[in-house]
Amino acid sequence: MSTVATTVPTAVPVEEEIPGTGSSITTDRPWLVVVWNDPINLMSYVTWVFQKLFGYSRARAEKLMLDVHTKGRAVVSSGSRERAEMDVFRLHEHGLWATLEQV
Amino acid sequence: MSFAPPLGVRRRDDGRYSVRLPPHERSVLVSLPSHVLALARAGDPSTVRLFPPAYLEDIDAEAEYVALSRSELMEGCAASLETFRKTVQSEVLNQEQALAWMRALNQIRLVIGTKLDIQENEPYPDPATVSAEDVRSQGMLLYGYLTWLQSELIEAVSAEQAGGDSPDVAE
Repeated sequence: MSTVATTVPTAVPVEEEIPGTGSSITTDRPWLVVVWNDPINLMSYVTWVFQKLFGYSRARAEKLMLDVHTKGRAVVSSGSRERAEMDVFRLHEHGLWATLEQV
Repeated sequence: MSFAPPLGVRRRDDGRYSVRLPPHERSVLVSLPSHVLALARAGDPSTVRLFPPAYLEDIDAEAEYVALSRSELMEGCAASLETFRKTVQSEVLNQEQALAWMRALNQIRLVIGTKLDIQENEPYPDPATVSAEDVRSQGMLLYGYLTWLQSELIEAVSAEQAGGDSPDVAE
């Protein structure tokens, strides 16, 4: 998985930035932590990282890893924006391609 | 005459890890961390996978995430690469060192794999037929070797992890 279709604008007006809020969307909907498939990270490594970071059983971690592998992406955790961003950071520390998005 | 134990990484009964590698392989490994760290610090495109985006659509949020996380990701990367470099000649690793090896090897593979533009399940070339001029195939051989060594670590560490499912909350 090397390309992701996005609708990222090439520029935004600076005067519309609202520091600290990130965006105008509501905050009560949970945030999802998504891990994307990539050709480098080993399947066994991804499984191990899911177990280590989230405390998942081996079976649950393997199921998530296979979802990533076969479907291109999988939601591996969810929660508040702060929690989801911390999970994404910890996944980045381990070299996984993780993003967060609001439901 | 006695049989030599197999090459690779094994978990010992005392919770540490034995590392059996020939000296010439260790001398290849020792040169890699400083190369990768220099590339990362220079912002080389091959290190893009060490600093993935957190937000794909909200560029303000992404800028904020980068501002908050980049230096800590770089420090963590440097720390595991440095531990790997310092202990690359070791016959025995403790838990912390083994985890640093795992992360360092993954970081090195991410950079080499990006440089090679590696494809999923791309077959490795046959070492016997690779010429010295074939730079990509030489790179593939190194990448394949690092993949094997990382797999050895994952297997050894997972053997320990299989016993319990407690989350890592120390970070």
